[in-house]
Amino acid sequence: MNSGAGGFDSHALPPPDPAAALRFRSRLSPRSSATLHPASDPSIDGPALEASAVEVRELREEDGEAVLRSFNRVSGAVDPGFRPRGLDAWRWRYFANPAGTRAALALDAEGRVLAHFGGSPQELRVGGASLRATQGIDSFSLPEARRLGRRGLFVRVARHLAAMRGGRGAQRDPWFWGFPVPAARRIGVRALGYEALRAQPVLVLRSGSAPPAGVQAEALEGAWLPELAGPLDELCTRLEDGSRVLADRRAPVLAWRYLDAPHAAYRLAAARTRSGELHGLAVWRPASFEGRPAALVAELLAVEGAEAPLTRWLVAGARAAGLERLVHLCSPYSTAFASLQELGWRVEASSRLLVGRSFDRELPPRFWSERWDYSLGDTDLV
Amino acid sequence: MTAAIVREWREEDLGSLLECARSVFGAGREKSRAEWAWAFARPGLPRRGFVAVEGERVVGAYLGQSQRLRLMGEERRCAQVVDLMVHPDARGGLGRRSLHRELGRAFIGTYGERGEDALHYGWPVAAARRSGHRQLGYELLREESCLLRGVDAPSGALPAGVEALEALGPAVDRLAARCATAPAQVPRDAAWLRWRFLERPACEYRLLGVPEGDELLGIAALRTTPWDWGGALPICEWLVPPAESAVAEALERAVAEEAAARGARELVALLPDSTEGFGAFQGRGWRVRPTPYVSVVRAHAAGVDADWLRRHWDYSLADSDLA
Repeated sequence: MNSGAGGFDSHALPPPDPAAALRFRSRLSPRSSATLHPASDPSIDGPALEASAVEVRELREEDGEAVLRSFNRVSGAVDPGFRPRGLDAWRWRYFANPAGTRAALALDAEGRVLAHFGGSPQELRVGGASLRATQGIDSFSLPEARRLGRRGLFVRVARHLAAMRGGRGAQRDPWFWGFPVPAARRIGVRALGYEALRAQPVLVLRSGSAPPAGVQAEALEGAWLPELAGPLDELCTRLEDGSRVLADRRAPVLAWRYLDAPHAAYRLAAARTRSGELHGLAVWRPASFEGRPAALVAELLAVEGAEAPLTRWLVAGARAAGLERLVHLCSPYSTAFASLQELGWRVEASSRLLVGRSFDRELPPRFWSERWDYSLGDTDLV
Repeated sequence: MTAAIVREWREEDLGSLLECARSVFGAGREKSRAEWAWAFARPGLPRRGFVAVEGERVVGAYLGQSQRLRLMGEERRCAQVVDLMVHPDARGGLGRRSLHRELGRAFIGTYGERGEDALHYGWPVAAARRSGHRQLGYELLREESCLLRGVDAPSGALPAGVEALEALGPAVDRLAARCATAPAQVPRDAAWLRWRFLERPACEYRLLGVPEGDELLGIAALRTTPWDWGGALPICEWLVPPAESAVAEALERAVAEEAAARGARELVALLPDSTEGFGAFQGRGWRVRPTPYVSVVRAHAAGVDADWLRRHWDYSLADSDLA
């Protein structure tokens, strides 16, 4: 489990150390790249790179080990606390997601992964209609490969994925988005059509604050989703009944996201009425956000006042774990952004910028900025 | 396609500039000559602005309100970009000449890249923002959040210790100095507050202060007419040292009283979410809401970019032309 990022994601890593040679424009010889990036695996070093020997394509299931060799090397160079990703986590992210697989990469003739642009796709709902979106994740390129060819190799890879998967229609996504680290964001704005939508605020609750009085939510552990699948479907249908865009959060998706995740242990609670109607769901895990320990609240789905008992459960869990802060993230246009403030959550700035690119003129960035109810659980930050 | 020439604006352009503004913004929405002089021809500050002219007729403008800027301890300059305009007759056409791009590049190049301005900033409308991102290097600062609270019925009197301020003197300078903790800020001295709130044509503000002997412990500036967006009365400036919580509470009661006396039901303030004040307002019960206003910057100083400014630039509605 990564010590700071909370996910299989270069976007969640701290900003690059200026002393590290992650220079997008540098032309490093193999010898100088070896000096700046001591290879932990001899198979990482290779012969001088030629543009004609590079293959750019979409990700395949057999690419896992090669991707991880390069990803773990690059991530380890910028984050001293980074723990290498394993194949289970990689497969979970890219080949177990119910919404599919999104990634492209560049390989040299020896099968070494030189650059990678990953995605975490989602099915979305708005007013009964379906949409898709993909969060860009795990962007990286080897330092010695970045200026290969006329355009940066990473840009080539990202554009390849956009060409293959951006747009409207079967297996295409009209909205690519993310919370990239500054270096990736600059590349995205310059060369990939990213538009910065907002500097993302977060909602923070001190675990020492008095939680709202009343019934605490029921905490669920173990194989609970099969029992809740029906009520969860009804809750999602209620939440989707409007003009807001919401990611699908039915049982198969939540099971993949929170029960099957090999890299993290999430805690879940449901808020139910006496008659058993599901009015809300909360998910959290202990991690860190921007370098500070926190209870990261991935989900706070609620109707009819269920946020109060769920908040109480979250506070109790954070206290028991010795965490002073609970952190949640959602769209400032969501009803949750307003209603959680009534329960004592406070708005704070974060270092993250939400960026996106629309591949559908009928769904411009402004549509997503104002109508999309994303939250922390939609990201790889938790 | 227009044959316009792009050059710095001159005094003799004013009549045609206002005519162009009428065509672009609508009759009655352009600045008066007095407002123009207040905004763009302040004594002691350099003028900032380029116009596109066809003969003697102004067909476009890219203008800036010049300000002093305290940046990492140094005295610098900055400018808020306002009143971007291109006459409908001069837009697009064969060859796709973009007067907005030409005007913007002239402004940024002359005053920023080769000049003395450390920062250009503004709250452009969506179309100008998109064009600015693509063609002029604008960076997103933030989608502005506001702080809102309701006001009760008026009691008929200001709270004890709070007075209306009719004049601004050295005590204001000393208070401003105590509040000047951010690495980037337009200095709030008496002269600036006087220009901003007492001398602005066609806009009325109420200044409230908490005096203690010869000193001022805090100042708030309230516009007396509702903000265009949302209908609340805006607090346009808030000069209260963070440690003075009792002063903050008293001033807040006072501005609420003033707002209620004018029939307002809500107060609104705009402070960067990276500031201590943003958290302090929430601690007193204000709620945060999104606004449609988006701030952008174009930085020209070493070590300064949007990410840095987001963390270190302290501003308020007073730094904008929004209220």
